[in-house]
Amino acid sequence: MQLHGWEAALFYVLAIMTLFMAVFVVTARVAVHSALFLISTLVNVALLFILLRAEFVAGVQILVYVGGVMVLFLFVIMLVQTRAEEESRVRLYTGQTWPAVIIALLLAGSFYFAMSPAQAAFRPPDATTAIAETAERASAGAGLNISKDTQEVGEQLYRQAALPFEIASLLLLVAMVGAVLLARGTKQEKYYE
Amino acid sequence: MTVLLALLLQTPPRAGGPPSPGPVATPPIYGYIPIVIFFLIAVLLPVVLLGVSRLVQRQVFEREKLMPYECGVDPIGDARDRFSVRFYIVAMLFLVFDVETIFLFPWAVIYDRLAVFGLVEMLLFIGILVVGYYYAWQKGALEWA
Amino acid sequence: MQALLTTLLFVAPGWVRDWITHEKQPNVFWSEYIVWPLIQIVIVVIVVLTLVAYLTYLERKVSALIQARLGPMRVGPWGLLQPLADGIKLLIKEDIVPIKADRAVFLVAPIISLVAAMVVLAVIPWGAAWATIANVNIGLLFILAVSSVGVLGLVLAGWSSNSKYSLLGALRSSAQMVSYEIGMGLSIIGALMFARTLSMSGIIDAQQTDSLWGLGYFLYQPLGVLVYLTSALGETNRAPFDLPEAESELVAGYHTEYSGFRWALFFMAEYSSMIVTAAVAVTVFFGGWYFPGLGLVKNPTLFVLLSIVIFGAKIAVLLYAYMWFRWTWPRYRYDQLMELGWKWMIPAGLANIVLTGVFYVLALPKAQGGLLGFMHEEKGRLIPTKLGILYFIVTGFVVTIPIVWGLLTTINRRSRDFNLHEQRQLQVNLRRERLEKMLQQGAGTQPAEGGQ
Repeated sequence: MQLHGWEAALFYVLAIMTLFMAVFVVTARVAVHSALFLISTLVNVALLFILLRAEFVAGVQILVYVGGVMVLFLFVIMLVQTRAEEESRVRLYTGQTWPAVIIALLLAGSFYFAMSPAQAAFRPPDATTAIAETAERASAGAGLNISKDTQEVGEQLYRQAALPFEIASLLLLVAMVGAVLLARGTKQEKYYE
Repeated sequence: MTVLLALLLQTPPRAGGPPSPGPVATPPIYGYIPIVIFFLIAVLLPVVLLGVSRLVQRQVFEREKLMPYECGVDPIGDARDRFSVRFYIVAMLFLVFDVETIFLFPWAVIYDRLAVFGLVEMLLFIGILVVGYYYAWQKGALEWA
Repeated sequence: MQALLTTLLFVAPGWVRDWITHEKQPNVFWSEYIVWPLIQIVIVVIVVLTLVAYLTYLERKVSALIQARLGPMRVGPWGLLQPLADGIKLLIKEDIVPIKADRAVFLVAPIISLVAAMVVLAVIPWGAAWATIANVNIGLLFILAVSSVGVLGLVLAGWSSNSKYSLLGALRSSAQMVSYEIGMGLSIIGALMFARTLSMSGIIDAQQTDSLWGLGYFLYQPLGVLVYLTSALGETNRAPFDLPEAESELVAGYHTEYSGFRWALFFMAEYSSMIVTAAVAVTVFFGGWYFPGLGLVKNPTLFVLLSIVIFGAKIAVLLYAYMWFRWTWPRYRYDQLMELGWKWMIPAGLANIVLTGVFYVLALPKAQGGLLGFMHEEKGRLIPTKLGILYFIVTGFVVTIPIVWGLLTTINRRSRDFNLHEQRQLQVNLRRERLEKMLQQGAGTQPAEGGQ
């Protein structure tokens, strides 16, 4: 699937915004401000998903990351006292800055070389295929002009990937047990056993 | 050059046969445009209202007024202190159950086609999570005493 | 050069292409996706804001009538202009930012809350056909997702105020909201198994074919409705779960430090999320804008107008119920509240899903592996037959509710905290035992325990 017209423009705007927000996450001095920027990064990524026709994933991104993980992050930030660091005049950019930049550049380079085969296979988008795709999707929506994205996700997940799905439930179980174990105190232990 | 032409016209080249008029099929993604407009209006609304409020209100600054409220007494210490770890457990458990709910959505939507296989699959999934739920309950993670 | 031109043309809007090619194309884009939605959105925003204002009036009126008072009567006839007066008062009030507050976050938090509560109004099917603003595939998921963002606004408000009451209130209400969000998500899965779509309009269409006279899924999912409505009360911080605003303990919860119109934004967010939860309940369980007999109307314009009226009336009934609950039930204690969310709502939601799944599979057509064959296929959809409708209603009311009630009372049998009567009996019994012991020891000896 290829984007063109306004969609391509929107894609680049959103992508650049995502990157800027991600940079702000790292440079903000107050931890809660970082969290706010992270929220906007995640919302931008959700919008990118919608642009790429992955509507269900976009919804999940907002529900789990923005509505769930970020609440947890804020709780953690509030739980740990970061007041001293926020108010101190310690320099934000230390000796670690340059190694971090170099590692980031190396990572970007490796991404680029990993992607280049795909880049080579890239054809300039063809208007005819796009229109055909659009018409096909519109007719698939049974006249309602809405996509079948959730149904497709379901078909893939519960027919093709039944075993990984069950393994995911085991992972959730481990996460739950871990959460309970991490946060219980000895007093609680005594009281309930 | 043909690519450029096709681009310019943005219509499928008519390979013989009658041209098909009728409404232009728009991608389903366009359904999100009204939501984006709504978002912009929803952001604009409080900003405009607060701006109006700023214009018509009268502001008098006093030290006493700008202090955090603590029943009339001068506030003691900083409010951002450590708090009970229980809120943290609740947030963690919420996350696990949130992900579980997410998994149930695409399952429910195609449940008629999955039929018995889907039921068994989901019974296993919910069963495994109920084990974790039982553990959390037994360890007192769900208590608030 | 040509590549650059190609790229530029991709980005160019339609009218530029029209101008270059001198060919007018039928373009429904602007009318369909910009202008008409804009009109709808402006109408919806104005109506909802007015409704929010008048909900505060209604809240006062209903509470007054329940307590045998008159309520606001001074401003306008029967106090009808009271919301306007309140609005003007809030606009000209001073907007205070405490010294120790984190200014940026303090200013942004109420806006996050309000935007999260308002944006979901875009996908709610206010009526048939052209009355719906946006019909997207993930409608219901979108509503759940965006309204969960509202929690962030309130956590940030509590944190940035740098006041003890605000922080505690924010923690309490966010923990409460996330707890009840799970129950809410689980309770609608049962209805989704019948509807087989997440699109809000799709769910209403499905109910017209699936349920008895198109009344709605509440007939098949009575337990789902109960769990949903309870969770919705908890999610919107309404009484009897209004712990974050327990005036007697926490002053005003997370918005203690807010004043003037910034405080009003929180208030608006709260009331519009009330409207949203009511609208979702109407859409998923009560048949949306459809009511038996609406199909008799042949004029399409009248049909749509009537559908909007029906949808509004159903929401109004639920909103009245919200207020009625508030003045009927006492406030919960915080541990009871969390217990209700985690130990009653979540198991009930899960049990409802499992039982609905089992009953659904049994009713499938025999060709698809069902035993009873209470469903048949029509236009690519499985639809329950007349017997099937009866079967789903009976299983919903007569089988599911007793089973789940039995299950919940069994797993919660040791929770004395929840049962206030039990708790009181415990104290009474202890006291009686102590007294009896004292009596047995005889009147002459000094009782070991004093008047403790």
